Amino acid sequence: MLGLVVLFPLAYSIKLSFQSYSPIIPNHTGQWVGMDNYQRILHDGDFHHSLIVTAIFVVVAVSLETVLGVVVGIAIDRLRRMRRFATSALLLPMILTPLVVGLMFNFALNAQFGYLTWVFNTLHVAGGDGVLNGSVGALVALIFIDVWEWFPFVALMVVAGLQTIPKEPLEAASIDGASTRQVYWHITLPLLRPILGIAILFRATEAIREFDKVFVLTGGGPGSATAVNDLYQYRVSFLNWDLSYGAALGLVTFAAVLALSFLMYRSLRRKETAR
Amino acid sequence: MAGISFRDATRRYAGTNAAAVSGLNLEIHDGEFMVLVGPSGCGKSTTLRMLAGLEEVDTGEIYIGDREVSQLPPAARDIAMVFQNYALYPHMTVGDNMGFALRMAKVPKSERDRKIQEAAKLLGLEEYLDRKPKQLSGGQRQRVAMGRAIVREPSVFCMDEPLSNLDAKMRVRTRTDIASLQRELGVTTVYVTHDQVEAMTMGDRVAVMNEGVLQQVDTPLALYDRPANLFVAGFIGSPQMNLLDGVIDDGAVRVGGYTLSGTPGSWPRNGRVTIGVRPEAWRIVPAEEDGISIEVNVVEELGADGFAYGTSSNEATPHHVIVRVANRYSVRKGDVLRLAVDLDKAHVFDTETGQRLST
Amino acid sequence: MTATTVNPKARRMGRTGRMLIALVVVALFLAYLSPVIWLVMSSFKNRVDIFTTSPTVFFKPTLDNYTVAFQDKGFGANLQNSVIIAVISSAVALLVGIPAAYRLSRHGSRFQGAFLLALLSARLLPAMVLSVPLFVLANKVGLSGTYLAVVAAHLTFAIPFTVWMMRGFFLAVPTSLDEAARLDGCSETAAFFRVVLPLTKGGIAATAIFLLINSWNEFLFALILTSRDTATLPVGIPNLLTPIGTFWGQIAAVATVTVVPICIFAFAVQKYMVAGLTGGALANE
Repeated sequence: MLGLVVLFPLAYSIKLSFQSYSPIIPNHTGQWVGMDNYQRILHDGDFHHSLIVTAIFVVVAVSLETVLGVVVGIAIDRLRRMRRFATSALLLPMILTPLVVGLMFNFALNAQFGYLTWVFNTLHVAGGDGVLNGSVGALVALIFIDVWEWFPFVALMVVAGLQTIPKEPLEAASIDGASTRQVYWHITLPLLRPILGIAILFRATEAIREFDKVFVLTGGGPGSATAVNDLYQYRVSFLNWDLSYGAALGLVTFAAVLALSFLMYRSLRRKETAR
Repeated sequence: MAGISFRDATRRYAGTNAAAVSGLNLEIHDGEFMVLVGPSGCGKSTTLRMLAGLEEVDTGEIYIGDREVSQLPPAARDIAMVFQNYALYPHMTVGDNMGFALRMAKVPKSERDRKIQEAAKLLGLEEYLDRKPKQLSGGQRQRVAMGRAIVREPSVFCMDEPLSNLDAKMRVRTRTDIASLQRELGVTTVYVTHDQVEAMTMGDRVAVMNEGVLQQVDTPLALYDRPANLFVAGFIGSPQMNLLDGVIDDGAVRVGGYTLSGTPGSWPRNGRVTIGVRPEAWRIVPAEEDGISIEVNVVEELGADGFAYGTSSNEATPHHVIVRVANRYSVRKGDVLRLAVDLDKAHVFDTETGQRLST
Repeated sequence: MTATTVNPKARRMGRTGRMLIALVVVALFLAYLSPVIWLVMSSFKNRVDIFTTSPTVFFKPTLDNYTVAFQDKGFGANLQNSVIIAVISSAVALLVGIPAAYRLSRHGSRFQGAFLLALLSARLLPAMVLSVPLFVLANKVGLSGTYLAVVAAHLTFAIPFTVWMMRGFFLAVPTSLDEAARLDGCSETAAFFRVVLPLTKGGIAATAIFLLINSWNEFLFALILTSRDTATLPVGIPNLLTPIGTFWGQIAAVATVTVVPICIFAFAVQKYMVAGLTGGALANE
């Protein structure tokens, strides 16, 4: 069953990537073109640009999510009566329909009547023509939204991780004269590292495939300022209907994601066994 | 009721070289309490699970009564098992747990209830029948697991370390409970444990296993008195038997400069041997007599008697030596003791093969 | 929990201190969740209240956005499509995934490692990679625009998810319980249904809910594989962003309806959240 729904399309995609197929471009009827599509990737400036945008988006967003997640996670762990409320509130953004998240911020950041635009204007932190209409602003907004949506994931993992940490090392450290902050820095954080590693692995592999929010927030624009990899592929495959080239791009992306997660997983494992 | 017979039963796990159980031949009599004992990984649990049908038999056969069962599913073998973690069904009450097998066998409800009541009475569980396993103490859970086995009136009980999750006091009590219950019911029982004290106190006979191979089967006392090889000698008995490096020199047995007194056995004229001496087999002799000297490091007073742990100054065995001291305070730390042993109280093993040489 | 032992200060804090902390926490979270609150509020606003340059907090609520969107603009049909697709794909994923997960949790076979790795890779597979072949295939066999096409696409992530999640739950049930059941006279199948399944009811419910949420939230496959008649809610909403003007009130209304059921579901499985979000990669609770 899994083979039917996953492997077959994947194999078909490989076949497609060596052909030239498009439902609308003339003379693209599925003839074999060998490595042409893959060679095209090497010289495709738009694709390279999308890779840079994706890299900036993934690295900045996931880093911020990690730092914020750790801080908030530790803070929540120290709460007592508010703890349940806080974890519940943090769950909300993650399970919201990603498309709705994008729309919601599109609405809130609307140049004319968005309430966040009003807040920014009142505080004089952004210009008057709307954050989403500038190329830097749009990317910053996209990163901000991703952080808004996903830092709770890291926080939740930290809260879960803190519960599994044995109490004794913490007690030993405070008996040894470490201050609360020193205990967190020298004992808690290193003990959290494995679970943080998993959290980052998850976030990175998911951020690489970002599509829904960009689609509805900026459509990749202004221009190509927020055209992350998946959005660029969408443009190739379903706006230009260059499906064979889209297939090739997809396969290259998948190979990169696999390699990247394998490397991250390996370094995670090695740190584990080294200890 | 039925006896059990393992005939060349072998179990080999995929991807491993050594067999978990290799060529096991073992006859268990009808109504007997047989204990399988050995260190972890020795194959005792695999043996039990092969009997129960939870583990495949790769080659060889297993008979229960005169039925060859090695290809039958567990349910068809008429066996009840008590698991180490009890394996009680958490979502069922105690009564339902005990009656589950009967329900599967489509026994009518009235008869089922009667049997559950009987077993509950036997085990003192009557007031707990409506509780869930989670609401019971460890000892009570253990009894429910026993009850579940009893209710079925099977031809064989299999018990896989049923006491290892209990605290020390509970374990001793339950040990005698299980043994007397088994004698009362007369059901053939195979009991797996790594604890040699359990093995010695509970079994009619004990089978000692190591590295997938059966080492010796005999009554507890026979195992203690005549261990067949070095492994059994070291495994049975607490504190351990002293094992000293020695030689046979023209028929006489020597440890360094000390020659053991007594009649030599029918062993080879020369060779390297290991001499086993139980702590209570030593004689403490005056310093001028022949023997080995030890300096006492620690004395363990147990009340009725005690054990002295010392270091031997004998050139051949500069080992730790354990000796039982009968009289209170007769030995102190730092004392030097002269120890001797008679050949008929010592066990002589071939160092190379580990096999017993003395009769 | 752990912090209290290293932080005696927290214990010394008085009642007012604790009240203050509670207030700060509530305020922070109000600000944090303000985009959601704003969206839901806007769904009850009329045009004038929405299109103001300074935000309106107090207004006269109206249900107009809901009636227009769901009665006049046909979002009722989208809602129905979302339900149909989510329910069918989740049911199929459970039917296929649960037995597979059980087998993987019990029998240590040589292929188990390879199979688990394949499942993991399948979970790393970007939807965009599958969207091209699925689109072409669906068109070739004439399934484009049918429920079947989207359901099949959703199964590409739903089945691996189910197997990973349920494997974790099954691993938590000791093997000796199945063994006891088999000695008690059950076949392997009966042991599964009578002993293992009742013990993993909670896990199955949680898995089912995550499957529903994932399918409900999915956008890309639905976008390229559905037609006007089978479009799900996420696919339908962007249609309200038109070149002539954007119907923000109606968008807010449809978005609210999209989001409310999953929120209710999500809080029901809160304790399984970490497992669900990591697809069973991390144990529960």
